[in-house]
Amino acid sequence: MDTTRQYGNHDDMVDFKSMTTVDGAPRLITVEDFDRMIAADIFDEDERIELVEGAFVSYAPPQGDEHAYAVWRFPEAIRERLGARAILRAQSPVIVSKITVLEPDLTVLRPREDRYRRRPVPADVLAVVEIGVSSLARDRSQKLRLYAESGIPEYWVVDVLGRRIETFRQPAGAAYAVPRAVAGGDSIAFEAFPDVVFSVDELLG
Amino acid sequence: MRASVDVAAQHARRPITVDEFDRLVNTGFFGPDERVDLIEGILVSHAPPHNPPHAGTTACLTRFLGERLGRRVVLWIQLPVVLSDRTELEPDIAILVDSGHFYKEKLPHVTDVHAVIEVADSSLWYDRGEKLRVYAEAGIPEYWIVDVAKQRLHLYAEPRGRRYATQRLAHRGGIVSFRAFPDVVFSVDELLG
Repeated sequence: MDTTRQYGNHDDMVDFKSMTTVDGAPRLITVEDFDRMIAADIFDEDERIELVEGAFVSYAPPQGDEHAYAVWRFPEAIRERLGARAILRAQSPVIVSKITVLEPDLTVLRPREDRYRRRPVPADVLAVVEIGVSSLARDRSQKLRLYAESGIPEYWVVDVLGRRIETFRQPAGAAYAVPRAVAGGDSIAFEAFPDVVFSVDELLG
Repeated sequence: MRASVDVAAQHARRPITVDEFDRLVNTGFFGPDERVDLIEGILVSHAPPHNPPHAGTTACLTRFLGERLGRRVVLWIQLPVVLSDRTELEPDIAILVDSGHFYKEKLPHVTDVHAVIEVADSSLWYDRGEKLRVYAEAGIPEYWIVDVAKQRLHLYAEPRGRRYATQRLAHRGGIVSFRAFPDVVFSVDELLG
Protein backbone atom coordinates (compact mmCIF):
# COMPACT_ATOMS: atom_id res chain seq x y z
CA MET A 1 0.00 0.00 0.00
CA ASP A 2 1.23 3.48 -0.77
CA THR A 3 1.11 4.87 2.73
CA THR A 4 2.19 8.37 1.77
CA ARG A 5 -0.84 8.67 -0.40
CA GLN A 6 -3.07 6.97 2.10
CA TYR A 7 -2.16 8.95 5.18
CA GLY A 8 -0.80 12.20 3.90
CA ASN A 9 2.28 13.37 5.71
CA HIS A 10 1.38 12.07 9.14
CA ASP A 11 3.52 8.98 9.24
CA ASP A 12 5.40 10.41 12.16
CA MET A 13 2.31 11.36 14.10
CA VAL A 14 2.03 8.47 16.49
CA ASP A 15 4.61 5.84 17.11
CA PHE A 16 1.88 3.33 17.76
CA LYS A 17 3.78 0.25 16.63
CA SER A 18 6.25 0.57 19.47
CA MET A 19 3.42 0.35 21.96
CA THR A 20 2.09 -2.95 20.83
CA THR A 21 4.65 -5.04 22.66
CA VAL A 22 3.89 -3.68 26.12
CA ASP A 23 1.75 -5.99 28.20
CA GLY A 24 -1.56 -4.34 28.92
CA ALA A 25 -1.13 -1.39 26.57
CA PRO A 26 -4.11 -0.68 24.33
CA ARG A 27 -3.61 -2.29 20.96
CA LEU A 28 -4.57 0.66 18.83
CA ILE A 29 -6.67 0.01 15.76
CA THR A 30 -5.20 1.55 12.63
CA VAL A 31 -6.96 2.71 9.50
CA GLU A 32 -5.54 -0.37 7.78
CA ASP A 33 -6.98 -2.58 10.52
CA PHE A 34 -10.32 -0.80 10.24
CA ASP A 35 -10.41 -1.40 6.48
CA ARG A 36 -9.61 -5.08 6.93
CA MET A 37 -12.36 -5.36 9.51
CA ILE A 38 -14.82 -3.78 7.13
CA ALA A 39 -13.66 -6.13 4.35
CA ALA A 40 -14.05 -9.11 6.70
CA ASP A 41 -17.66 -8.07 7.36
CA ILE A 42 -17.13 -7.66 11.07
CA PHE A 43 -19.66 -4.85 11.41
CA ASP A 44 -23.32 -4.53 10.48
CA GLU A 45 -23.66 -2.63 7.25
CA ASP A 46 -25.81 0.07 8.78
CA GLU A 47 -23.62 0.63 11.79
CA ARG A 48 -21.96 4.03 11.96
CA ILE A 49 -18.56 3.90 13.56
CA GLU A 50 -15.74 6.40 13.74
CA LEU A 51 -12.18 5.44 14.55
CA VAL A 52 -10.83 7.89 17.11
CA GLU A 53 -7.19 7.56 18.08
CA GLY A 54 -7.17 3.80 17.69
CA ALA A 55 -10.53 2.98 19.31
CA PHE A 56 -14.05 2.78 17.96
CA VAL A 57 -16.66 5.36 18.81
CA SER A 58 -20.32 5.07 17.96
CA TYR A 59 -21.25 7.74 15.53
CA ALA A 60 -24.59 9.16 16.55
CA PRO A 61 -26.81 9.99 13.57
CA PRO A 62 -28.51 13.37 13.54
CA GLN A 63 -31.55 13.53 15.75
CA GLY A 64 -34.48 15.89 15.82
CA ASP A 65 -35.91 18.37 13.37
CA GLU A 66 -33.38 21.18 13.80
CA HIS A 67 -30.31 19.03 13.35
CA ALA A 68 -31.69 16.97 10.49
CA TYR A 69 -32.66 20.14 8.64
CA ALA A 70 -29.32 21.85 9.26
CA VAL A 71 -27.33 18.80 8.17
CA TRP A 72 -29.20 18.89 4.86
CA ARG A 73 -29.51 22.67 4.40
CA PHE A 74 -26.00 23.74 5.28
CA PRO A 75 -24.14 21.75 2.59
CA GLU A 76 -26.89 22.60 0.13
CA ALA A 77 -26.44 26.35 0.68
CA ILE A 78 -22.70 26.04 0.25
CA ARG A 79 -23.01 23.88 -2.84
CA GLU A 80 -25.31 26.46 -4.49
CA ARG A 81 -22.56 29.07 -4.25
CA LEU A 82 -19.31 27.12 -4.58
CA GLY A 83 -20.48 25.01 -7.48
CA ALA A 84 -17.65 23.02 -9.04
CA ARG A 85 -14.91 24.92 -7.24
CA ALA A 86 -14.91 22.32 -4.49
CA ILE A 87 -16.09 18.79 -3.91
CA LEU A 88 -18.47 18.62 -0.98
CA ARG A 89 -19.09 15.50 1.01
CA ALA A 90 -21.57 15.14 3.82
CA GLN A 91 -21.00 12.66 6.64
CA SER A 92 -18.37 10.85 4.68
CA PRO A 93 -15.08 9.48 6.01
CA VAL A 94 -11.87 11.47 6.14
CA ILE A 95 -8.65 9.68 7.08
CA VAL A 96 -7.45 12.09 9.73
CA SER A 97 -4.41 10.09 10.81
CA LYS A 98 -3.15 6.50 10.85
CA ILE A 99 -5.44 5.76 13.77
CA THR A 100 -8.33 8.16 13.25
CA VAL A 101 -11.14 8.18 10.69
CA LEU A 102 -13.88 10.75 11.20
CA GLU A 103 -17.04 11.57 9.29
CA PRO A 104 -17.50 15.34 9.45
CA ASP A 105 -20.98 16.66 8.74
CA LEU A 106 -19.43 18.47 5.77
CA THR A 107 -16.02 18.19 4.15
CA VAL A 108 -14.93 20.79 1.60
CA LEU A 109 -12.36 19.19 -0.68
CA ARG A 110 -10.03 20.32 -3.41
CA PRO A 111 -11.38 19.22 -6.77
CA ARG A 112 -9.66 16.02 -7.83
CA GLU A 113 -10.06 14.09 -11.02
CA ASP A 114 -10.97 10.81 -9.37
CA ARG A 115 -13.56 12.63 -7.24
CA TYR A 116 -12.13 10.86 -4.24
CA ARG A 117 -12.62 7.24 -5.09
CA ARG A 118 -10.11 6.89 -2.29
CA ARG A 119 -11.05 8.60 0.89
CA PRO A 120 -9.56 12.02 1.44
CA VAL A 121 -6.65 12.73 3.77
CA PRO A 122 -5.96 16.08 5.49
CA ALA A 123 -3.92 17.40 2.56
CA ASP A 124 -7.05 17.12 0.39
CA VAL A 125 -9.25 19.03 2.80
CA LEU A 126 -9.94 22.75 2.54
CA ALA A 127 -12.33 22.82 5.49
CA VAL A 128 -14.48 20.61 7.66
CA VAL A 129 -17.75 21.56 9.31
CA GLU A 130 -19.46 19.94 12.27
CA ILE A 131 -23.11 20.78 12.77
CA GLY A 132 -23.95 20.43 16.42
CA VAL A 133 -26.98 20.28 18.61
CA SER A 134 -26.06 17.90 21.39
CA SER A 135 -22.50 17.20 20.26
CA LEU A 136 -21.12 20.74 20.59
CA ALA A 137 -18.89 19.99 23.56
CA ARG A 138 -17.15 17.19 21.71
CA ASP A 139 -17.00 19.25 18.50
CA ARG A 140 -15.20 22.05 20.37
CA SER A 141 -12.79 19.83 22.28
CA GLN A 142 -11.85 16.41 20.99
CA LYS A 143 -12.73 16.96 17.32
CA LEU A 144 -11.13 20.38 17.25
CA ARG A 145 -7.92 18.89 18.60
CA LEU A 146 -7.97 16.01 16.10
CA TYR A 147 -8.59 18.28 13.13
CA ALA A 148 -5.96 20.81 14.27
CA GLU A 149 -3.35 18.11 14.88
CA SER A 150 -3.97 16.69 11.43
CA GLY A 151 -3.31 20.08 9.87
CA ILE A 152 -6.78 20.56 8.38
CA PRO A 153 -6.61 24.28 7.59
CA GLU A 154 -10.09 25.38 8.59
CA TYR A 155 -12.77 24.06 10.90
CA TRP A 156 -16.28 25.38 11.49
CA VAL A 157 -18.54 24.43 14.37
CA VAL A 158 -22.18 25.25 13.68
CA ASP A 159 -24.30 25.81 16.79
CA VAL A 160 -27.72 25.13 15.35
CA LEU A 161 -29.83 26.15 18.32
CA GLY A 162 -27.67 29.18 19.12
CA ARG A 163 -27.71 30.14 15.43
CA ARG A 164 -24.01 30.96 15.41
CA ILE A 165 -20.93 29.60 13.72
CA GLU A 166 -17.47 29.35 15.23
CA THR A 167 -14.64 29.31 12.73
CA PHE A 168 -11.10 28.16 13.42
CA ARG A 169 -8.14 28.85 11.16
CA GLN A 170 -4.39 28.27 11.18
CA PRO A 171 -3.90 24.95 12.92
CA ALA A 172 -1.15 25.17 15.53
CA GLY A 173 -0.49 21.97 17.43
CA ALA A 174 -3.63 20.81 19.21
CA ALA A 175 -5.60 24.01 18.57
CA TYR A 176 -6.25 26.68 15.97
CA ALA A 177 -4.49 30.03 16.25
CA VAL A 178 -7.39 32.09 14.88
CA PRO A 179 -10.83 31.43 16.38
CA ARG A 180 -13.81 33.60 15.54
CA ALA A 181 -17.55 33.49 16.16
CA VAL A 182 -20.24 34.93 13.92
CA ALA A 183 -24.03 35.08 14.12
CA GLY A 184 -27.16 36.45 12.46
CA GLY A 185 -26.42 38.66 9.50
CA ASP A 186 -22.65 38.46 9.92
CA SER A 187 -20.59 37.56 6.87
CA ILE A 188 -18.63 34.37 6.69
CA ALA A 189 -16.39 32.82 4.03
CA PHE A 190 -14.01 29.93 3.74
CA GLU A 191 -10.34 30.89 3.76
CA ALA A 192 -9.94 29.06 0.46
CA PHE A 193 -12.80 31.00 -1.18
CA PRO A 194 -12.74 34.52 0.26
CA ASP A 195 -14.76 35.85 -2.64
CA VAL A 196 -17.75 33.65 -1.81
CA VAL A 197 -19.34 35.39 1.14
CA PHE A 198 -22.28 33.88 2.99
CA SER A 199 -24.35 35.25 5.82
CA VAL A 200 -24.96 33.06 8.84
CA ASP A 201 -28.70 33.43 8.36
CA GLU A 202 -28.39 32.23 4.79
CA LEU A 203 -26.51 29.09 5.82
CA LEU A 204 -28.91 28.29 8.62
CA GLY A 205 -32.03 29.56 6.87
CA MET B 1 -1.83 7.63 24.49
CA ARG B 2 -3.75 5.68 27.05
CA ALA B 3 -5.31 8.95 28.22
CA SER B 4 -6.36 9.76 24.66
CA VAL B 5 -8.13 6.47 24.30
CA ASP B 6 -9.97 7.15 27.54
CA VAL B 7 -11.10 10.50 26.23
CA ALA B 8 -12.63 8.72 23.29
CA ALA B 9 -14.23 6.33 25.74
CA GLN B 10 -16.31 9.14 27.18
CA HIS B 11 -18.05 9.47 23.86
CA ALA B 12 -20.01 6.27 23.45
CA ARG B 13 -17.02 4.07 22.90
CA ARG B 14 -18.05 1.26 20.63
CA PRO B 15 -16.80 -1.95 22.23
CA ILE B 16 -15.63 -4.92 20.22
CA THR B 17 -17.56 -8.04 21.14
CA VAL B 18 -16.14 -11.50 21.71
CA ASP B 19 -18.05 -12.66 18.66
CA GLU B 20 -16.40 -10.00 16.49
CA PHE B 21 -13.03 -10.69 18.09
CA ASP B 22 -13.29 -14.42 17.34
CA ARG B 23 -14.16 -13.65 13.73
CA LEU B 24 -11.11 -11.40 13.48
CA VAL B 25 -8.92 -14.14 14.91
CA ASN B 26 -10.41 -16.74 12.60
CA THR B 27 -9.89 -14.59 9.51
CA GLY B 28 -6.21 -14.20 10.36
CA PHE B 29 -6.61 -10.56 11.21
CA PHE B 30 -3.79 -10.55 13.74
CA GLY B 31 -0.31 -11.44 12.56
CA PRO B 32 1.36 -14.63 13.74
CA ASP B 33 3.61 -12.67 16.10
CA GLU B 34 0.87 -10.58 17.56
CA ARG B 35 -0.92 -11.57 20.72
CA VAL B 36 -3.95 -9.54 21.63
CA ASP B 37 -6.53 -9.89 24.38
CA LEU B 38 -10.00 -8.41 24.30
CA ILE B 39 -10.66 -6.72 27.62
CA GLU B 40 -14.00 -5.02 28.13
CA GLY B 41 -14.39 -4.41 24.42
CA ILE B 42 -10.91 -3.01 23.85
CA LEU B 43 -8.00 -4.70 22.14
CA VAL B 44 -5.08 -4.95 24.53
CA SER B 45 -1.55 -6.00 23.67
CA HIS B 46 -0.30 -9.15 25.27
CA ALA B 47 3.46 -9.34 25.22
CA PRO B 48 4.57 -12.74 23.95
CA PRO B 49 5.98 -14.75 26.87
CA HIS B 50 9.20 -15.48 25.08
CA ASN B 51 11.81 -14.53 27.63
CA PRO B 52 13.44 -17.52 29.33
CA PRO B 53 12.36 -16.94 32.96
CA HIS B 54 8.73 -16.51 31.92
CA ALA B 55 8.70 -19.39 29.44
CA GLY B 56 10.65 -21.76 31.71
CA THR B 57 8.54 -21.00 34.77
CA THR B 58 5.38 -21.62 32.76
CA ALA B 59 6.79 -25.00 31.64
CA CYS B 60 7.76 -25.90 35.20
CA LEU B 61 4.29 -25.05 36.53
CA THR B 62 2.71 -27.02 33.74
CA ARG B 63 4.70 -30.13 34.61
CA PHE B 64 3.87 -30.13 38.33
CA LEU B 65 0.26 -29.12 37.90
CA GLY B 66 -0.16 -31.81 35.27
CA GLU B 67 1.52 -34.49 37.37
CA ARG B 68 -0.52 -33.83 40.51
CA LEU B 69 -3.87 -32.76 39.17
CA GLY B 70 -3.74 -35.22 36.29
CA ARG B 71 -7.06 -36.10 34.73
CA ARG B 72 -9.05 -34.14 37.25
CA VAL B 73 -8.50 -31.01 35.17
CA VAL B 74 -7.66 -29.73 31.72
CA LEU B 75 -4.58 -27.51 31.69
CA TRP B 76 -5.05 -24.69 29.22
CA ILE B 77 -1.72 -23.03 28.45
CA GLN B 78 -1.75 -19.54 26.90
CA LEU B 79 -5.06 -20.25 25.21
CA PRO B 80 -8.21 -18.16 25.08
CA VAL B 81 -10.82 -18.07 27.83
CA VAL B 82 -14.07 -16.14 27.43
CA LEU B 83 -14.90 -14.07 30.51
CA SER B 84 -17.89 -12.11 29.17
CA ASP B 85 -19.37 -11.04 25.86
CA ARG B 86 -16.70 -8.32 25.73
CA THR B 87 -13.69 -9.98 27.31
CA GLU B 88 -11.59 -12.83 26.00
CA LEU B 89 -8.02 -13.28 27.12
CA GLU B 90 -5.24 -15.81 27.34
CA PRO B 91 -4.02 -16.52 30.86
CA ASP B 92 -0.60 -18.14 31.08
CA ILE B 93 -2.32 -21.14 32.65
CA ALA B 94 -6.00 -21.81 33.14
CA ILE B 95 -7.01 -24.84 35.22
CA LEU B 96 -10.26 -26.00 33.70
CA VAL B 97 -13.00 -28.41 34.61
CA ASP B 98 -12.40 -31.67 32.74
CA SER B 99 -15.41 -31.52 30.49
CA GLY B 100 -14.39 -34.70 28.65
CA HIS B 101 -14.13 -32.99 25.27
CA PHE B 102 -11.17 -30.66 25.75
CA TYR B 103 -13.29 -27.65 24.76
CA LYS B 104 -13.10 -28.56 21.11
CA GLU B 105 -16.63 -27.33 20.46
CA LYS B 106 -16.59 -24.11 22.40
CA LEU B 107 -13.96 -22.03 24.17
CA PRO B 108 -14.02 -22.29 27.97
CA HIS B 109 -16.09 -19.74 29.86
CA VAL B 110 -15.88 -18.56 33.47
CA THR B 111 -17.89 -21.46 34.83
CA ASP B 112 -15.36 -23.87 33.32
CA VAL B 113 -12.45 -22.33 35.21
CA HIS B 114 -11.14 -23.58 38.58
CA ALA B 115 -8.27 -21.09 38.64
CA VAL B 116 -5.98 -19.00 36.47
CA ILE B 117 -2.27 -18.38 36.87
CA GLU B 118 -0.26 -15.53 35.43
CA VAL B 119 3.53 -15.71 35.36
CA ALA B 120 4.69 -12.14 35.92
CA ASP B 121 8.01 -10.57 35.27
CA SER B 122 7.76 -7.09 33.81
CA SER B 123 3.98 -7.39 33.78
CA LEU B 124 3.47 -7.61 37.55
CA TRP B 125 1.81 -4.20 37.83
CA TYR B 126 -0.64 -5.18 35.13
CA ASP B 127 -1.33 -8.67 36.51
CA ARG B 128 -1.93 -7.29 40.02
CA GLY B 129 -3.89 -4.32 38.73
CA GLU B 130 -6.18 -4.41 35.76
CA LYS B 131 -6.05 -8.16 35.19
CA LEU B 132 -6.87 -8.90 38.80
CA ARG B 133 -9.86 -6.62 38.57
CA VAL B 134 -11.00 -8.27 35.34
CA TYR B 135 -10.67 -11.79 36.77
CA ALA B 136 -12.40 -10.82 40.02
CA GLU B 137 -15.27 -9.10 38.25
CA ALA B 138 -15.72 -12.07 35.96
CA GLY B 139 -15.96 -14.32 39.02
CA ILE B 140 -12.85 -16.43 38.40
CA PRO B 141 -12.76 -18.26 41.75
CA GLU B 142 -9.01 -18.32 42.27
CA TYR B 143 -6.13 -16.37 40.77
CA TRP B 144 -2.42 -16.93 41.33
CA ILE B 145 0.37 -14.63 40.22
CA VAL B 146 3.85 -16.12 40.08
CA ASP B 147 6.31 -13.29 40.73
CA VAL B 148 9.41 -14.51 38.96
CA ALA B 149 11.64 -11.63 40.08
CA LYS B 150 10.83 -11.91 43.78
CA GLN B 151 10.40 -15.71 43.69
CA ARG B 152 7.04 -15.78 45.41
CA LEU B 153 3.38 -16.40 44.71
CA HIS B 154 0.41 -14.10 45.20
CA LEU B 155 -2.71 -16.16 45.88
CA TYR B 156 -6.15 -14.60 45.50
CA ALA B 157 -9.49 -16.26 46.18
CA GLU B 158 -13.17 -15.41 46.75
CA PRO B 159 -13.90 -12.78 44.13
CA ARG B 160 -15.91 -9.83 45.49
CA GLY B 161 -16.69 -7.14 42.95
CA ARG B 162 -13.46 -5.72 41.59
CA ARG B 163 -11.13 -7.56 43.96
CA TYR B 164 -10.58 -10.77 45.87
CA ALA B 165 -11.68 -11.06 49.49
CA THR B 166 -8.73 -13.22 50.50
CA GLN B 167 -5.15 -12.85 49.43
CA ARG B 168 -1.85 -14.16 50.70
CA LEU B 169 1.77 -14.42 49.76
CA ALA B 170 3.60 -17.74 49.55
CA HIS B 171 7.39 -17.80 49.69
CA ARG B 172 10.02 -20.41 48.95
CA GLY B 173 9.86 -23.12 51.59
CA GLY B 174 6.08 -22.78 51.86
CA ILE B 175 3.26 -24.91 50.49
CA VAL B 176 0.21 -24.02 48.44
CA SER B 177 -2.94 -25.67 47.15
CA PHE B 178 -5.95 -24.69 45.13
CA ARG B 179 -9.31 -24.18 46.84
CA ALA B 180 -10.87 -26.62 44.42
CA PHE B 181 -8.25 -29.30 45.21
CA PRO B 182 -7.23 -28.89 48.85
CA ASP B 183 -5.87 -32.43 48.96
CA VAL B 184 -3.26 -31.67 46.29
CA VAL B 185 -0.37 -29.82 47.89
CA PHE B 186 2.52 -28.20 46.03
CA SER B 187 5.71 -26.78 47.44
CA VAL B 188 6.53 -23.27 46.27
CA ASP B 189 10.03 -24.50 45.55
CA GLU B 190 8.90 -27.07 43.02
CA LEU B 191 6.55 -24.65 41.29
CA LEU B 192 9.24 -21.98 40.95
CA GLY B 193 11.79 -24.61 39.83
